[in-house]
Amino acid sequence: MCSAAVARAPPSPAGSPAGLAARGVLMVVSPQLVGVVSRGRRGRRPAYGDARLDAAGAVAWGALPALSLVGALGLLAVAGAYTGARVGAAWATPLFWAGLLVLFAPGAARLVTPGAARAERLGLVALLGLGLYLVKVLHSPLAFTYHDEFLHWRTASDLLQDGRLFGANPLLPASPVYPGLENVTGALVALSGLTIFQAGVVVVGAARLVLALALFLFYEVVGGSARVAGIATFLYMANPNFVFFNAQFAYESLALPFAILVLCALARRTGAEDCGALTGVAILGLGATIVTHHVTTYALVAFLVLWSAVAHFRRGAGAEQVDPAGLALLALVASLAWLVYAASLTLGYLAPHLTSGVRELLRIIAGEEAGRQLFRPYAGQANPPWERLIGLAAVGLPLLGLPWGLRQVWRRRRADAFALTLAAGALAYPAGLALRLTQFGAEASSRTAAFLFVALAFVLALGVAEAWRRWPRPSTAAACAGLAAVMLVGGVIVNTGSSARLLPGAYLVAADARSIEPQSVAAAEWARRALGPGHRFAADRTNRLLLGSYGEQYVVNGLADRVGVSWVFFSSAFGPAERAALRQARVRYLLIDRRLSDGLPLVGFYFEAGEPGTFQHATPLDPTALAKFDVQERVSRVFDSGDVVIYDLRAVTDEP
Amino acid sequence: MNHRSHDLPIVVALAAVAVAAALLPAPAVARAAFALPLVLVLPGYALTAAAFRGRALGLAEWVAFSGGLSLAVAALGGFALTWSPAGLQAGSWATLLGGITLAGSAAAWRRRRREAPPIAPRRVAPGLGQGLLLGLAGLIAAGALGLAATGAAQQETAGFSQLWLLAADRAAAPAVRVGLQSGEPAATRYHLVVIAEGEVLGDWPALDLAPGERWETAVALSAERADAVTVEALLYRLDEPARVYRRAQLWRDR
Repeated sequence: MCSAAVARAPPSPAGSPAGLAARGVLMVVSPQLVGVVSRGRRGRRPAYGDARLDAAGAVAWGALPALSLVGALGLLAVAGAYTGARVGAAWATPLFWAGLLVLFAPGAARLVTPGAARAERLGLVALLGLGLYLVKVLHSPLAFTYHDEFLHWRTASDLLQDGRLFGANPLLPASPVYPGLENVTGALVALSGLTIFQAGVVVVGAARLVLALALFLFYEVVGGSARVAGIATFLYMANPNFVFFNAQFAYESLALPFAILVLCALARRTGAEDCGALTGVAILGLGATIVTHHVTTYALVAFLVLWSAVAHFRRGAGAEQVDPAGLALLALVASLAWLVYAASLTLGYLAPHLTSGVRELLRIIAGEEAGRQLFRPYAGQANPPWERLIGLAAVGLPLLGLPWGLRQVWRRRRADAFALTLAAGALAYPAGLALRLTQFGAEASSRTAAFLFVALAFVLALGVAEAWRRWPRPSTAAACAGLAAVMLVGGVIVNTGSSARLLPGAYLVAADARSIEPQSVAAAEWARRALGPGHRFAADRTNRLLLGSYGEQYVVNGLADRVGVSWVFFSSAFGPAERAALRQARVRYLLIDRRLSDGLPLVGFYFEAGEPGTFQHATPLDPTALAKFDVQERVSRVFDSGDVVIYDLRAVTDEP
Repeated sequence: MNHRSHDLPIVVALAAVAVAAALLPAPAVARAAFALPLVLVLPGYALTAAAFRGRALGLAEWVAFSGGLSLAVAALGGFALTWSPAGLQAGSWATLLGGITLAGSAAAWRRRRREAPPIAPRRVAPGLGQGLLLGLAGLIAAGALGLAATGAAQQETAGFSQLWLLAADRAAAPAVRVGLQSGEPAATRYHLVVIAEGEVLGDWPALDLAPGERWETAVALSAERADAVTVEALLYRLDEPARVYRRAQLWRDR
């Protein structure tokens, strides 16, 4: 039981802002000195020292205003870091990390302590959720720059132009059959007149708020405590995908909040008056998840099935639980139906990501391959020692905390099938780490974090709460928040791979956001304007995104067309084999970006995974290989902007 | 929320204004301002009010369910619209979302007439000092956005100039289209020459383009060069007249 000294709830505080800010900081540093307490909601004493609401339901704002100010200053530092990075300032990266920590750590520390009222905790998780979202928005405040955003922009653009769903998207064939994100964005664009980018930022931001609150409400029921809910929510936000990957305009960013809403509604059904309404929310959320993102759907279905199994075996233990089997069955049937009737493209898209990684892992285990070198980007300098240490800690800390947290689940929540299911889900985290040793499976492994952390965060939160119970000191809160901050920072490092990709700046070769720059964008826009939409182009990874989005072209790639032409770009000759490959792929135009020969590809490949030398390029692309099209008869050089050249291959491929 | 308060009429009124702003000529700011709640809040709020009875939901539950259900309605609603004659257009979206809001509000009103109002939690507004802190935080966050946007807009990138040469397919006589656009940071002066198998078809010795400016023209092939196989465009910058700055070449069908 928490032994923190507490005081009666103070009256609505007046006084200078500076005094309030100082008081707010004091609340975080030493909750024993300044606390808020009130009588329990139902007269029970909370297990983990929750602050209680008074009988009249008065809401105490506590440290929220002060921490909002601190968080805003963190955001300002991040914005300053981005601005400095654009001019190559050496202080940009340290300032970025400082800003991120200022945004995250104080709120996290406050959530660990028992002094905060429920409403303050809710405010803090909303603040953290939106604040961390703004870290991504500040990186790209004017236009999309992240890889997946262009894929979904194309779907949204086609939807708005055609006024119908299920168009074709060569950049991501599966996207049009999971149009939830584009439906919402399209509605907002059509009604408001905003651009797709502006509407997308708003939609994902709204989804982020829903995610933060739904997570809290979900954890509150399962954990039996608003304090555990706050801790679990900020631990979830420390997952590697939270800051950037799940903040981009992509279908998982919207599907995750839907899935959490389903879990929240189901968890709250137990003993609720509004069981029917909550079931309705769950069904609506399930339907929205299914039509928004495949992997999130399968993760949700897997969890519901697991929960049903656990609830079935726990039923005899006397715990009152709402039977989840019905909804699990509905989820399974509905997701399979969608897969069979509308989304058969999904298997062709997902399977290679998983099978390649598993095959590679088996070869590593068999000693046939060495495995991926950690913290060594494909181009540029290796991560400095401190980044490697933090990155390893980000992966290792959850592993270390897992047994402790599982013990608490067993001691305090084993009558709850939901809690046991989360504990079982958390055990999948170590298993998923193995794929990080592979080239092709690393990305799939990192993507699982967004799902596994839903379970892992809960288990770790119980461990944190128990740690506070045993050592109720400010240093405990600081240590827990600090370790969570390490997870946050390390997760960002692990996911981005190198500092070069973290902050904006000058052009880099095949570096996703760092390769999006005006000349390539202008070339894509020229293609749309001068050539018209829908022509078949072959290009490198970055220009393919831009041609497919800004340019509204059909970009040939192995995923959509089942034909590979990337090797043609590496070839020193333009002979019969090269011509035949382009003819088979029905390529009309080739876009050559001569900057590709200036350096190694930061993501490991120039065109697509599977090209010659994927993940193993030791020397940049040969410039003479890129220039070979200049001396070919019947190949027209129709566009030249210096670095970007477009060739018309109609005479070679007979493509209209 | 106080279930005997005026939330439902406000919801319906907002939806009506948003629908009107979407369907009728309206200032862009007004359209955007009312479209945001119509898509992100109102349908979910109405459904939440209709579905939940008895004890009052907390603010967090209202926000989570209202927002989540609004997003879900829009995510799923597109499927209904895609098979409708109107398709996914502003009018059909406004009708769908406005209709759901109205139906949900009506259902909520009927339910509330039957039930005793629940006890809603008393909320304490932030004090003046707290409000100032929150306001200051908002201002600083907005300042951060402004700083980031300014930095992004002013990021220096290398200037470039585009040159293109295309067949003029719709021309009555054999011709090509040549054009250039400046992506240079300052006004630039160019010299452009179009040549067909040694014959100069066009020569523009001093083309001045401001940043972002585009210039394009059709160049007819002379009778002697109507069957020319190749046409070439050479672009020079007048500050470097000896170096070919950009080059385009067109192989013509015979």
